[in-house]
Amino acid sequence: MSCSIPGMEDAGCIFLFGYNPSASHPIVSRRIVKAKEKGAKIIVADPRVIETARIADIYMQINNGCNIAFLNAFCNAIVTEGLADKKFIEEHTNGFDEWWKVIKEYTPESVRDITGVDPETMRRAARMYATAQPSAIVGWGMGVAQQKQNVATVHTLASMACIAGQIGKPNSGLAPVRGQNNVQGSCDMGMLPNLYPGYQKVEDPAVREKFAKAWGVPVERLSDHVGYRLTDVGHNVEEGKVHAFYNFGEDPLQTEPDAQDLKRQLSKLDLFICQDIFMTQTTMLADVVFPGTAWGEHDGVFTASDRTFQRFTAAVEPKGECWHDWQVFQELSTRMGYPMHYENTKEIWDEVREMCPNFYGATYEKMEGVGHAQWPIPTIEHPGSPDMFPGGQFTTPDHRANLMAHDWEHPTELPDEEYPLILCTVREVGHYSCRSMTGNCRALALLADEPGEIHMNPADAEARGISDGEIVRAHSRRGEAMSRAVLDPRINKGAVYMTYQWWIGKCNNLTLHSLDSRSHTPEDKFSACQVDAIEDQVWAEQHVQELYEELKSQLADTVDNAMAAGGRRDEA
Amino acid sequence: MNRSISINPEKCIGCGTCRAACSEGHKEAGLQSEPRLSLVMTRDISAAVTCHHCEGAPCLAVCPVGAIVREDGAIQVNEQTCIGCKLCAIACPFGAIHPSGTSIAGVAGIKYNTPSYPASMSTLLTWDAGVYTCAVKCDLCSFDDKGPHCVAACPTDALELVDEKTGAAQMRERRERAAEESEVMMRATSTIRRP
Repeated sequence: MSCSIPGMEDAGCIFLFGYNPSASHPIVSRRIVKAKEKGAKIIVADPRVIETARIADIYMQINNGCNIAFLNAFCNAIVTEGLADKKFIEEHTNGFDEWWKVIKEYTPESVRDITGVDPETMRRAARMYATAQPSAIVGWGMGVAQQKQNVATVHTLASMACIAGQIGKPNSGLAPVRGQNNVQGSCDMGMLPNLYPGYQKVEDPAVREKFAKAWGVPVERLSDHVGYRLTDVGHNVEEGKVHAFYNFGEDPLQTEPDAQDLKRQLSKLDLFICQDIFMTQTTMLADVVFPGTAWGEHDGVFTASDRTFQRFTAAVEPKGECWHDWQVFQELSTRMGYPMHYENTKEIWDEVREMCPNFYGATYEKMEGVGHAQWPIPTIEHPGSPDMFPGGQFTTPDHRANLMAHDWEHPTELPDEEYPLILCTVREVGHYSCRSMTGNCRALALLADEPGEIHMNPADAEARGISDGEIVRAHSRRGEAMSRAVLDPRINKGAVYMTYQWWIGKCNNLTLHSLDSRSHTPEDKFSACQVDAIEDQVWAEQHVQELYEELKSQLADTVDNAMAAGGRRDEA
Repeated sequence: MNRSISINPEKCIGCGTCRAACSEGHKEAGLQSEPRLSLVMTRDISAAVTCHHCEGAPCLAVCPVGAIVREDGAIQVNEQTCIGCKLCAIACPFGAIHPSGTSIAGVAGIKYNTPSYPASMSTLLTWDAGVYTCAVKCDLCSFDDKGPHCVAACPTDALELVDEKTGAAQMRERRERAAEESEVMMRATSTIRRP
């Protein structure tokens, strides 16, 4: 994010595009409620009437999969209404003329059928965003990231902020929120196949030299090319390019698209290691399971979406055979021939600080108690940076933003006669990610449990003879799932919405595995499906319970069988 | 005047934290863990709905066994003496009271719940083997001196306990606003009449 989450309260306008904070980040949602109370204008563009749409000054119910067409037209409206910040464009950006060549073709009128938005409403929203004082923020989430053309959409959003001059000043700019806790942290720490910690590129020889020296290894030992991404693992196993997979704190068979196919692919691995705190459908396939520690058992540093480092400390000691994640990595590394030894997380963090210039000032001392540090924070004295790009100075070599525009492409799998509904996967407020943790919390399970919900427009339900609360069968070209229908007037006609953490109501049995060529992020927000009523509801209710119990028993049996077959605890 | 919980739908983000806190608090107190607030979401409104603790409480009036009483400015159900007749649930104009029981799944060899009715069926009609239901409704967390758990848990302060102190303040604030608005109206009117 170019701004800070607390700073959102002081913006003059917040524009949410493909982001439902009340389900995914209630804490951000609270800031937006406060911003509204302080007088901020709220604009929402989303296919669903999300919570924030209720308090929005302008709400636009967009069609699923229209992102680039919408944003191009929005930018077009900013320019044609004479609201482009010419001074900012002149002084701080490159490539306006090239950018305009694409954008000028997209008027709010010309894309009306694609976006579903009334042109005058879009122009009114463009005026509200571009003229907002003292600043405007555009926030987006998975509604942008998990679509076809996701990288291109981000380019367009960033260009929009630049031409409106709504970036490079306090509480302004871009607020892309992360999908899960500490996703920002894993990126900061280089958990990406192209980066070392601190966003230092693996292809840069100087960077490799620096890390080789610090780690005391010959530079040839460090990889000089970009590796595979999680979403590529499945087909790379199938093609014989990947033989071993070390899966750490993830449940891809729950969270990745086309789960049935992925299961088939992962079953072909020669070696599958999982590190987790609970058994999941993924750990069930593993050859080796390392029992990790939970959030209350270890200490470390999280990074929030707004680049804020926060230190957290253990409440209790690890139980039984569990080790801290860093201890597992350290032991594994040592046994594989690179002796690694840290006494505690502070030693690790201090090494991170030494190696990453932008993080250097974020000391453990500064983060003591409820303290925090927001990067860039290059020196010990530095107060941290709630806002990025002050004065319109960007992190490009010439400190200018490169404006980028792209033509809209339709989503990969369009609805047809056989599969006439659009399936979009969304978030459940009471459950975190794959639910391996929150599913074990009684109160949260009481509020939302198997088989989850499929939200649909009452008209679509009526056409299929489906009543509110009934269990239904959803299916696509990939697979099927049972779920509970919720007839929801907030849902646009022609689309259905499922959340992705249910084992029986597993929407990822249905989703399409189609990746953006640059980010390799799957198009989770758009696949074609059909929903059928089930006549015998009592049978359906019982069947869901049976399937759920069966799966739980299988998880338990996997552990029992492994132990009985000579699986052992390792005395290290 | 009875106390109650007021809800500001402008602040509600529909997160359900109130329901989780309600369930957890009552379970710890040895009461039914069913949440005593419902979350109502229409096209344009999101709001938690719960008991108003009516002065002329219909639930209290219809209870045949005296299990519902007025106590310390609130309408309370005694879960032990309630016979599960559901009259109160039928009488309540706010849908704020309904029968609920604790599933026996996990005990006495019953591995998991086997539903014998569609989940869409009214809670007035559902029945589970071995489950004794009683009326549950908001008790303002009378078991806890710190007050209602939902109010403390709400991340946007959309819930407020209306009692002797806050009720008076809220009323005063509303009257002041009404006075200001009527003054604006008067001025506007006077301008029209006497240009």
